[in-house]
Amino acid sequence: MLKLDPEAARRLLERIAGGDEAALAELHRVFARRVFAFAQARLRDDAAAEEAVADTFFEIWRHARRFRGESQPSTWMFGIARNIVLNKLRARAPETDELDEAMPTDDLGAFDELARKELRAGILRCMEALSAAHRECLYLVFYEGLSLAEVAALQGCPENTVKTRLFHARRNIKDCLGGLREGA
Amino acid sequence: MTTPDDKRRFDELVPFYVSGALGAAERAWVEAYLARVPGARAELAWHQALAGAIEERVASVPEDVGLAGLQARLAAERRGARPGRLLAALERWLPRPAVYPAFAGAAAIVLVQAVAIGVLVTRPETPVYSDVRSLGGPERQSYLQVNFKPEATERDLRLALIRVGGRIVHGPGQLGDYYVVVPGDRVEPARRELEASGVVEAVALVDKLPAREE
Repeated sequence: MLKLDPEAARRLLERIAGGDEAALAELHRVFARRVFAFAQARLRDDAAAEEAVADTFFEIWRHARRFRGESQPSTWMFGIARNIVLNKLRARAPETDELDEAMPTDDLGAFDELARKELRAGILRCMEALSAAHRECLYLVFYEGLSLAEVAALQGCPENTVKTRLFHARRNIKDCLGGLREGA
Repeated sequence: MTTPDDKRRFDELVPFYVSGALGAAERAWVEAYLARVPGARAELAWHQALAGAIEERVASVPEDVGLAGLQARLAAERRGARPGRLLAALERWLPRPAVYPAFAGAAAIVLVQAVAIGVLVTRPETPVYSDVRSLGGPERQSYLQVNFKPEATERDLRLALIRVGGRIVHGPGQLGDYYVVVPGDRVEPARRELEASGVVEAVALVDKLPAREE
């Protein structure tokens, strides 16, 4: 993935605060896919996630001078993205997010039967069935590489809730993969 | 020997081990566990596959995703077509005209009225009021700074505000804070009611709106 070191991101935000559109384009180039994936995890809708990307970068453009360097630039930007995504969710009909699903069996060996590629495809398919909060949590941990405390801060919940979300998300994916294997 | 506590700790740490977010001590603990517990490596491989799947998915997203929309917003801003912050906040509260065409006209009227009322209410030092005050200078306007819970729906927000007779005059900010006005004698009861509503994460009484940045 395209990574932007925090110092470079800070410099870009300074330039954006000064009205530099080229800096905004550069930030978009390295960060847009990450915002999209983050938004898609919650919205489950590519078009809405793309709109969230545009909204997020427009907000960054308008408010870059608000960034005071008290957090990582990426955390600050994800905070903006998350707020935009939540507003989009609020504008929708109430979502029926499952929280604590039934506990499946602990059958890890079953997944050895799936080839690596099939396993990844299966994982992605099974991720679609997770609740938005669970998918977002997985994304923040496994793709963004955030710590437990950072995920909790971004999701606005206690660390134990993040642990619970991670636990159930992984269990549900494993359970779902087991179902795919049996149905094959 | 592996205890249930060890297994639980491994389960908690392994996602962060895969993502590289662990400190040295925890990383060493995971590696020792991997070395001594049969089956732990299979669990690690599964988590690596999960990380790989997510990475693959993100990699398939075009690099310019959202760029056209961003450019359109920038172009509109250059033309001066960007709606004000209050207007933008109110827009989010109204149904989309594309979805409810028959409602669009009425909504537009309500929007204009709301903006006009909002502007009046949020300007505490209008000449009309300052002329008739004889003592103590202009009254200060109180606002409730409200953060709704992430899971609160738009309907929850509307109902909570209707119950307290509140109206949004600013926000949401980047941290999700809305600024709400309620009738003067209802500020404290409204604050308590919102706090107890179950859809609000935090509510505070403030005496000014955030400074404009532009």
